[in-house]
Amino acid sequence: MSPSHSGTEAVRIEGVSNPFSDSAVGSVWNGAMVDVPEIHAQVSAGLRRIIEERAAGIHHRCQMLYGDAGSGKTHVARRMRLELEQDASRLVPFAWIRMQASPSMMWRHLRRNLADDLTRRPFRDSTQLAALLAARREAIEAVEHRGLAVVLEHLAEGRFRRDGRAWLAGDLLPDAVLDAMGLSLADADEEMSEDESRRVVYALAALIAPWPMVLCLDQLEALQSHPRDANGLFAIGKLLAALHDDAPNVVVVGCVQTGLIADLAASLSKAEQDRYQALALRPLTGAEVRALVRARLQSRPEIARLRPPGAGEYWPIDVSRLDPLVESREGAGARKVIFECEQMFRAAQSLPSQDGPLEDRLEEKFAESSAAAASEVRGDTSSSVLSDALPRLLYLRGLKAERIGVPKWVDHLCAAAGGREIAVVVANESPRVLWRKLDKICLGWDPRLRDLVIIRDAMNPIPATAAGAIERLEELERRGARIVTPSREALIALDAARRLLADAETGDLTYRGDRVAPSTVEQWIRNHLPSPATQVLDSVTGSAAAGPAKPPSGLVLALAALMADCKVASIEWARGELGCEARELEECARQNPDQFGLLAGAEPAVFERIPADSGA
Amino acid sequence: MSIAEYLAAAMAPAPVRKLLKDLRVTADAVDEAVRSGQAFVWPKQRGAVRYWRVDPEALVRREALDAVAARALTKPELVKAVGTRSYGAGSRTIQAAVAALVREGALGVAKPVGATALVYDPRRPQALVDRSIDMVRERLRKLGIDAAAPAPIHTPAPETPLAERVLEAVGRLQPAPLVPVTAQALRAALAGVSKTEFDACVITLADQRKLYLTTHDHGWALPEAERETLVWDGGAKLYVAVTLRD
Repeated sequence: MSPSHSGTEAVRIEGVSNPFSDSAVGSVWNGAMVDVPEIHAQVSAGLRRIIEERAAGIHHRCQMLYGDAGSGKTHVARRMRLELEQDASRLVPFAWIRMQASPSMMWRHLRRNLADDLTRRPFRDSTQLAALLAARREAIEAVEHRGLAVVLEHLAEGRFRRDGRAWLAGDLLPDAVLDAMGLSLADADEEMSEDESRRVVYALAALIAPWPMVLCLDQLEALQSHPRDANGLFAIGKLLAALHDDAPNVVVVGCVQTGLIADLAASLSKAEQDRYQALALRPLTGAEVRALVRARLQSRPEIARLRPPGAGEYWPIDVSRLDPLVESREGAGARKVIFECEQMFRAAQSLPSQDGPLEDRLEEKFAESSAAAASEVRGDTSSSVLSDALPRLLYLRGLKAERIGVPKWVDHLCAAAGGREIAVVVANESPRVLWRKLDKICLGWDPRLRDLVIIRDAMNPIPATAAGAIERLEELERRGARIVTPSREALIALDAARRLLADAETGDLTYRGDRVAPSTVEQWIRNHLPSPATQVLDSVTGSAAAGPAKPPSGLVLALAALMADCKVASIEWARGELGCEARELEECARQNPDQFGLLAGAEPAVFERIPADSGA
Repeated sequence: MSIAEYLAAAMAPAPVRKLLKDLRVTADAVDEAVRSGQAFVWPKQRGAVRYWRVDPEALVRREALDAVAARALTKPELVKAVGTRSYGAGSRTIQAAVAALVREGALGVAKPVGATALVYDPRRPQALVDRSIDMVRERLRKLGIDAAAPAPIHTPAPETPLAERVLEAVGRLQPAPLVPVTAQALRAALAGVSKTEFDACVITLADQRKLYLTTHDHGWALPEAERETLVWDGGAKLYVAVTLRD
């Protein structure tokens, strides 16, 4: 390529950063973007009009935006977000929520993400919440949810900023903090927690009323844990109907892949379908493809300076090579166009194609997901990980998880075709709530009908003082229940796997510009799931290899709680604390190598095992 | 807080007693707010006059147009549908709004089947056609005749080329311009056309750049009966929806 001189320094195409290198829109909150206003202009204008009319008190149905993977749904959402932020004449709060969540926890997921977006910086040099509190200070008194009113008062006065934000997001706060803030102690069970989150979301919407608030619910298909998962489809219908009916000032924009259109039509009731209006992003025309290429090239002014005499405006891109995409049966999606241009630009720079084998790509993405999971997994988020991950991963083993028509104390009812049912319960509640839940399970579970698996992960150890909960757990175990205690390592692996599966489902996982088929990712995960996660699944399904008798779960939990406090202790001291034999304690540690380690020596010791990447 | 601000913050029409009590204003002040356009009077509920920032007639008109967008309704159905979404505007207000919309031509009224009048959106005549077909089927069902029998009133004559019929059906069935139509719905609208003929026609129209096709992610994993409703290209691809191209 001909070099071009800029000042005294020669510039070559090889030195220009590729303007097509980011084909996937990660988040609506990403910074500057190259936007081509005429692409999807009609849809954007329609959404703008609906927001305006909602501000004037006109109530519309929810908007269901259909589009193929890579068609630009998230990009349209980002355009909407930027327009709202840049319009300084008014405040229209905006939240973008990727619905990668279990239907049983979707309101908690919604609440967390709404709170995160309202408190995200920067929004006009501050946050949306700060702007809202400044503009609607007097409305806080009228907030019907007492907890929310108290927290908003604190935040408006600049008190308890960190804990206030945590409460808004639904984090569990220590009793002492709740007491200091004047809030009720947290003793809600699963159902109450979900209901509480719904009320907080409605109360936030009511605070903002009559101004509109925009909730963009992206990747609605991720509410399904496997293809044709009826639970997920019903959840989509219920969520939209509830927001439509009970939060009239909220403009709901649901984004979903076009491929789900038939399943939604077949599964949702007429009443639910009446509550949303369909919009669609169509594939790009030839003119739009050229406009996109032009805009991207213009984002790097140095490219124009390098253009050889006589070269067309699209140099170094050969736009005629994009025509087959436009003319194909599926049409041209923006992501595929950008990817093809990326490859052409790399070729102009004499660089090889970026993508290695697909296996490498999947390994790389799994590592990224693991890193993200490691930085985010906490005691108060592990339940949502388990609730979403387990059905997805059990499906890969041929078990389908149901939530419809199951007893209330069951989180997932799983069964292989013709196989025995397994009731799975995630029991990470506080000890105060846990013993009530276990009571219900003791009364409701019949071992003759189904197996029972209770999951209490290592991020939520049961204190030794929770005698009632431990007693009930041991009673259930005596009756044949399996108590599974996933380690932090296992939770990270489960979370990484579910993120990868969800990305494949929503079309966010691509290889050479095309989405990776979910079935390909499923097979990869079957072959590569790390062993801590595999062991958890084995324990849930009951296919764990028979070995030496497992120590009572009460001892595992008690040891986990002790190690959470002291980290390392002599066997002699620990057995005294736990009231067990040294041999029993050592066996317990040996059989749970992902949680505990043993040190041999003059004074043998047991320690808490922490994964190398945890940063602890 | 002013009356306008109070009503603007209200999520529903506010009864007059609550308004007077909360704001400690006089009835004259409320009347003045109405005169100046800052408040609107709403029909009584439980004997109490109500006020709100939103004009009840404007809201009811909007809801009425929305209600018939996808499906033509009888007048009682329309009044009931709007009633559930209009904060107790009352059937008289709704009926008056519907009558005004009919006079203005924003709504149409027709009796395509018997004496039952259907209200519809003149911009979406297919909603009237669909409802009419349903009514005919219902009548035939009551006579013990299979509901699959009657040919759609609007279907072009059989000798019309299949391609034209497919394109016409997609245009009629799409819930909004350029929103995909499921292959299943399209196939049902062209009853009597064999799967092979239908699939080949749709694929040809896509290759002629008259339709876009949406691939099914896991079509091959579906039970056979469901897979048959998809459009098969004769190779590895199964398509779940079609969209008109510009």
